Amino acid sequence: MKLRFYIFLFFAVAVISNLKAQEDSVNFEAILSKKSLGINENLRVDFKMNKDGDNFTPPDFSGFKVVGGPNQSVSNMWVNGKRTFSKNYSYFLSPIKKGILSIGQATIEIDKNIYKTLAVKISVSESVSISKDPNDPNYVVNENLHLVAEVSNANPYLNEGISIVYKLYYSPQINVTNVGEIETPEYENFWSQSIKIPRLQIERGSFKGDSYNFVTWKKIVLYPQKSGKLDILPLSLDVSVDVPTNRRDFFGNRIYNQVSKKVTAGKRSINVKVLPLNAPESFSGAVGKFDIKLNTSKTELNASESLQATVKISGNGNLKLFSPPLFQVPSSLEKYDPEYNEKVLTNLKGMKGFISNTYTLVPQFQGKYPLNSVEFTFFNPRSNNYETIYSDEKIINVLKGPLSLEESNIESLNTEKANNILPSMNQFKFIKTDSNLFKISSKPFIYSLSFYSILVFPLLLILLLIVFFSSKNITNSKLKESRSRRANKLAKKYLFEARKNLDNKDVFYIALEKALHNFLKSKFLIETSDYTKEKISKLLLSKEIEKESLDLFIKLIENCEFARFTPASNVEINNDYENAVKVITEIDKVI
Amino acid sequence: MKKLIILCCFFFSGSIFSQTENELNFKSAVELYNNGNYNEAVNLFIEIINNGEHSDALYFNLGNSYYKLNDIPNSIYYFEKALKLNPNDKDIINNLSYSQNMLIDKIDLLPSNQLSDFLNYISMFFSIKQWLVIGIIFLYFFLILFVFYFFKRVSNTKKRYFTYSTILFCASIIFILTAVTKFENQNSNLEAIIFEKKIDLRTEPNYRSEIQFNLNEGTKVNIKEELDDWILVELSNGASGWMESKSIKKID
Repeated sequence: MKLRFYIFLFFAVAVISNLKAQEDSVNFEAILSKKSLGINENLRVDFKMNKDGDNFTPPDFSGFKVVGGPNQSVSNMWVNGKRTFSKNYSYFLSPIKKGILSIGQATIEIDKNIYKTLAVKISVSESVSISKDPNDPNYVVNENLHLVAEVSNANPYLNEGISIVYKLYYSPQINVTNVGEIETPEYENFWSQSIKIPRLQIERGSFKGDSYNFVTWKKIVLYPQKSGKLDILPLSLDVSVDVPTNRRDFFGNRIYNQVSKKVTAGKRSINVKVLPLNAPESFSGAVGKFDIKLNTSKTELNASESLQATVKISGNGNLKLFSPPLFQVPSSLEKYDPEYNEKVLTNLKGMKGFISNTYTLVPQFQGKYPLNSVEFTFFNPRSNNYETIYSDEKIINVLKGPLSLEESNIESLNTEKANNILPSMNQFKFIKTDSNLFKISSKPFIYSLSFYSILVFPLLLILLLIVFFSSKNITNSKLKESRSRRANKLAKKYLFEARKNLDNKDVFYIALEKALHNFLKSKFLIETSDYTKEKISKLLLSKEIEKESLDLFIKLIENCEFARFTPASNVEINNDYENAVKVITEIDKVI
Repeated sequence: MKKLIILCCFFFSGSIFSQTENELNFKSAVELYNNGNYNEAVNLFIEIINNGEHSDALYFNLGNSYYKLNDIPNSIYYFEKALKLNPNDKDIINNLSYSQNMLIDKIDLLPSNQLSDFLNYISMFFSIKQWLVIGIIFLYFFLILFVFYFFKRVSNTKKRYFTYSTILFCASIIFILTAVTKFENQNSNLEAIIFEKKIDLRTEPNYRSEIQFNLNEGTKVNIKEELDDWILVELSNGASGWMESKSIKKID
């Protein structure tokens, strides 16, 4: 008997301990908000577990469209030293078709075991009309809860900032207990920034003439990046609402029904206008109202020191969407890549602040360096016009330094050798005080008439000189030639006459003398006045005539002179004639 | 006859008067410059040019005044003009490099061969007119020596005169040819300064064509061709393109 009791006890303990173990067991299940619904209604599925797990895989919701979720929530509670843990993955589903649909198994891995939920069946019926029963909490919620999207400008220009404010209106009758975002719209083709709302605040306002409470749920600033019709997807919220019922509890307070409601708002299309076509060249996409400034850290410095130049664009507009305009400096200034800075605050009116590029400049040579004014063009949506603004012009004075590259080399060499201070040769020179003015000739001197005449004049003069003198020479020589020719002729004629008169002594000698005379005349161009023996002999000597023929010639002349006064024989006459012919031919040969 | 003389007197006195007026303008402009009144100094200098007179000093002073007024293209333009009249003036070259330091564009020079460098260097000694005058003076010396040669009867001295005159003649021909080639070079290398802040250079002389690159004010370009309102310019680094002729000023 006692043994039986022990056996019983053993089993009892075992069962109890088993029960205890049952308490710690894993629970993973799918909970549906409703089992049957109309096709126009939504369904919420929660996958709930009481222990934390990994690798949650949802079922494929075939036949449904996931309109929200997964939303994950974890709760951890300690009650009287007992821990209650629950983790939830919830999905909002909207059926696509009617009939019996099933949601498959979801799996999760907890403590290295895989757990699955059971598949559940849901019947989807015809769309149900939303009841208008004022006691139906769904109806009440529909009537008293509104989500509104306020768009500041539905017709902006490209890159003009607009804002969307989502406000959740609810009438004072109902209480909103919880709000969750199911669907956050993506603003495609927009640059968007949401403005943080630190604490949701309940404000009072009116909606369609009734007084409502509202909460500003979300504020977004958008800059359209594309022209044309752009759609903004709606924002969907899941709102838990406490709806008062007619029932009262034991203490006479109203009993509230909790209803979960999905509200959607803000499916809007924004018509983005194209910017006018007549954009100036310097336009780089800035839209708004801006101001430009060019600042330098120094205006006077020495070569190879550095300074900072800052181009700053400040104002309202799409500041983050363009870069500051290019900044050009003289090429002899060394320019380094700019450092970008921005300080932009975004509020409902758009971006406000400044962007700037800070350039480090290092002048290499001395002199003045103008920093040209920077040009910046933006589109002003208020005036519908492009506006171009310019910064101030800055001038940097570089006081000390080389003037050119070659000089810088020389200088560095010199300073290396000794610390001599060179007299600076290349200061900017003062103007010249001597005017040295002269007439501006419209035509260049070269190729001008005066140039040619000056050039040609001496050559012409030389030519004239040559021509004049040579012509004089020619006439001279011609005169001489004709004279000698005539003399020659005469000589021949008289010689012939002499031969004819070989027997007539007087006539012969006169003719011979004349012949000799004319011969000399033709050969040596001597005048009759020079016809003396001494002169002839001198002349003939100077012409290098042989002594023999010279003597013969003189002798002949003497004979001619003697013959006039002395008788002469025929033999002598014959001899003289032959001698004359011989001498003439000989002298002729020599000259 | 008397009337003519009076007329001549009038003419000369007039011209003398205007000259002295220019001189006075020059003096007062220098004073204005020295007092920092650069704008008025520029006006006076320009007036002298409008009166039909110029000099390298005048252009140099204009360049200086514009430099002080931070007008880069004008200062470079007048310095270049001054250099045309007086290519070796150290002051002009010095101050021009100051102006050129202010330029935004930096254009590298193409390497050139040494022979043409040397010839350029030689021809830079004098201006065209100076070369011409030297050549003509040599020509006249040649003429005198030639006349001596022509009239000398003694053969030795005649020979000497002949060689001297030939040398002089050759020298004068060389100088005149230098001037001529320099002039032709300048004519084919017409230079200009860009006066617009920023200008596009295109592949063709119309607005439809592509923009190749752009230039900034004060840069010197060589004009290669002209077509209507467009000019083809070449830079010292060999790049070329078409631009509107209204945005440049030729250095002539």
